[in-house]
Amino acid sequence: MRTVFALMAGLLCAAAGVRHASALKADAARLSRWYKVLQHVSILLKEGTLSIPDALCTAADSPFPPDKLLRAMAAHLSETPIATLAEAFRSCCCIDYAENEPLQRLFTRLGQGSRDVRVLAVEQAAEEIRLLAAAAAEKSEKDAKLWQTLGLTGGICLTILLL
Amino acid sequence: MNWTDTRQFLSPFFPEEIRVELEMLLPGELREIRIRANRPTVFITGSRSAALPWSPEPKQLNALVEALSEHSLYARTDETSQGYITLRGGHRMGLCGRASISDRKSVLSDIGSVCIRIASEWPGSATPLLSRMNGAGSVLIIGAPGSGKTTMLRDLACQLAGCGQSLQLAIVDERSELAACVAGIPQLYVGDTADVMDGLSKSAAIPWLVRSMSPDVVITDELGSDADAAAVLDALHCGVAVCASVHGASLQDVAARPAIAVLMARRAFDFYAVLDPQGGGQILQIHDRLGNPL
Repeated sequence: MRTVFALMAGLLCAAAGVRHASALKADAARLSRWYKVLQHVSILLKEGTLSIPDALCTAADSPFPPDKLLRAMAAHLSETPIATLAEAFRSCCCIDYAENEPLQRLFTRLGQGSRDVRVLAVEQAAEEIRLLAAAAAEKSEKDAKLWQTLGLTGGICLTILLL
Repeated sequence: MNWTDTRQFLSPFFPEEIRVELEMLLPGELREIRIRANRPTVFITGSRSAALPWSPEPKQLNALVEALSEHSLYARTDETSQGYITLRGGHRMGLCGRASISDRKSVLSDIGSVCIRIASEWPGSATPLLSRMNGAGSVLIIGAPGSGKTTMLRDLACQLAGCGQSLQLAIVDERSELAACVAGIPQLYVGDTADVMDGLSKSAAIPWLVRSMSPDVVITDELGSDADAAAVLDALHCGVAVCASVHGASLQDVAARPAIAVLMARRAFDFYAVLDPQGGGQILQIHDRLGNPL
């Protein structure tokens, strides 16, 4: 019984470390995807042939979280035509991520002004997110291995101690 | 787009008090919706105008315009620089507010008021004209704003296409009002034998269509410039009839406009039809090519 308990505690400790490391990697990947999607949106807006919901859908062509969010926003705008882009974002984004603030600013500015102003808004948001993505990638590279190692080492030590 | 479709299209954009009023209107009754910032919204029908209890704030008005354009306002500067955009179903939304000039184009930066003109159908309104045309003939439809020139041209197109003479029609729809094209496909019925050139100026589209589609009749809306008149004359000299419309209250008014005076002096049109300014697609008077009342 004591052995089982010690093994379980060790495994839990290791899992917590690995989970934190994966969350850091996921953050970096999500931010990097946002940057790519926004670059695509910027190109589509410069072309000026699609409505904004169509441009969001066209740019969001993968199964990643940013793509899902943009597709959900386009669907929300189609169901509630009077909703603004900022309202659609607020309604569809329910998780508190680091990029929410620049994105909220982007979607407020994306719903008004000339084409140049809107393209500029997307480019500025993309730049902000690029910086966030770079910081997240650096953090992930440094801290992910550390958390993973800490988790595994802590797990092993805990198991030995409890045994 | 019939009234049910129009109502279904417009309703989601408005608050409850406006939606209730829309529900109560009969088909063909509503002509315009006028929305001004901080002032009551007005419905204009054929016989009356009614102020409604909704005064949008400037921010709400801008959001409404953005939403009615289906979030594509940024991509439609060619239309907005002329003061309007065409909505789904061929309705026209006129815009007014603070404008500036940028790159020799007028740019509307703040929207203060909006006039939504409802596209309608009056089947058979062009029958009196058709009975005199005897197939492909050239007609100029004269009418004040809101008198139904575009609706009459659309009905004329439908009737010419279905008159049994296999007439091939070419429609020049510079402002997307006649056929309300989306991605080049007409959303409003303009006859089975009509080819529609959407969004191109009349002076560019008429020679294009005459050259490429060999039509029997060219139909176009709102002649105005010398270039339009030159394109119409060119089509007539190529043996193509032209049915067009022009802003004006009477034949005399129209004759005073330099571009149209040239066409009248050349006896370009077989008939002139003057519409009732009250709307409803009623023809007040038909004149022959010399301007004599028939």
